Amino acid sequence: MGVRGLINGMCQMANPLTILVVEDESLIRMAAVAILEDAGYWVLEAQNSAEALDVLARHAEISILLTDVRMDGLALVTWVQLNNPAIRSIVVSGNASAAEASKAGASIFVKKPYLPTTIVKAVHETVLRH
Amino acid sequence: MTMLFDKIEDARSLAQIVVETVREPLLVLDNTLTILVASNSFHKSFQISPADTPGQLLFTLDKGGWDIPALHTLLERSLVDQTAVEGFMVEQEFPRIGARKFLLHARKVLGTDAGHALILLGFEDITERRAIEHEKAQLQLRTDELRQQKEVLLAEMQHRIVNSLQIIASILMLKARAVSSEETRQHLQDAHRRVMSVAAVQQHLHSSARADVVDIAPYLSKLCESLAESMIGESRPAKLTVTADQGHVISADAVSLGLIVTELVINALKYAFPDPDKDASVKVDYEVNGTDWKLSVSDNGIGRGADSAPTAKGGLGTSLVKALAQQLDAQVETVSGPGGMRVSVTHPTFVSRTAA
Repeated sequence: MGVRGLINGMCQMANPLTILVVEDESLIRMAAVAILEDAGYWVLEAQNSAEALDVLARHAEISILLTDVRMDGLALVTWVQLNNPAIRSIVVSGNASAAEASKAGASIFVKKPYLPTTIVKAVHETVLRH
Repeated sequence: MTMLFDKIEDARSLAQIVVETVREPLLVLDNTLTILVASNSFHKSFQISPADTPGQLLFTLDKGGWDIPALHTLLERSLVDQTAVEGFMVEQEFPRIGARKFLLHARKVLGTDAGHALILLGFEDITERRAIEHEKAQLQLRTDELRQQKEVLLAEMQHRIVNSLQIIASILMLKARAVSSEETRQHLQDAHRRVMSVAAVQQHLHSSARADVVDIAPYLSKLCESLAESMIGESRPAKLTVTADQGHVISADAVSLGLIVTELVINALKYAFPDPDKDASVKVDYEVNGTDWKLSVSDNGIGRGADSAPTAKGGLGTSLVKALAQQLDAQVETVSGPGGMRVSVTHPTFVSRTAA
């Protein structure tokens, strides 16, 4: 780990980032939440875009959105990009493309099915990019 | 003089015979648009008696059924112009034969002015052709709709398969996280890796141009990348490399090959290096020769027996590899020594290109 990564890791431990996980499949959502909590993040969850908007309105501390493309996930990413550009978005999907995710405003695209390490890496990369 | 008249009469008779026998409906009209001669095919096509045509004004034919404005326009143009009028489309409800579509071809053939001109008027019935064209266009439209539906269904199916695999992987991962036994956790993590190995085929099927085959080299590379990501780290340093010839494998065989690689790589990383070794190396080779192939996984570890998993009863990994190899009609060969271990899965007819 480089100096930047070390500083980032220390900051994260002292003031963990808050991630909102949006996924309609409850078991996948549970696993994603567990993976990210194990990695040291605060994690909030929503099962669709409408619920996500509600959580976003109530939690200004959210800094990363991780969403599937179903349940209007790409529209949610675009909405976040327009209304709260400080929040970075990660899109996960089994059939959408990285280009579609990027066009919607996502920082990173992760193809399903993903390994636990893959989404942790994606979050780290998102943090490092900004 | 008589001979001249005879010749003219012969020529006229010949012209009349030619007109009467042409396949396409044909009329010869004078400058007043009166029918001089009509072909047999005209009578047959429009179901008009041959007795009704000679000397009949075209527009009064069939009780005025031929009084068609478009036909007026065409024939007036033909009388004035020296050039032929080709492919003038007329769509009309005819008294006897119903709705038809015709292409009309008109040409002024005699005389230098409209007063002495004759007009040849040919009819090309395109009703059936247009109906076929219309039917073809409708069929194409339906085909396009079905293709779009198929794409939507395929995308939905892809989503369902991938999500189902992710759900299974999630359950295994959550279970592995919850159990207190380290051995059980290892087994659950191995099961998770096997599910991800099958999932990797699905991803490659989706991204390849053909839905039934997998590009073997990128598939094995991606698979090993995932295995390395989940198994190699500070506590277990190792270098996992893939060397694969280019080639395509049908999806069912790709699943088997992927699972064999997964088992052998897990086995090598777990048991070939009991202590962390910065020079630890595991190599996956896939060689193709025509339709034959050879897959081998080798390491530079301590070497061990074929049935190497110390805690697995009968070595589940080894049993899986043998069963999968049998499914692929291939043989398994294990060579082990102090310099490491090499497991090869080979088609019986395989001859290495380097040996040939």
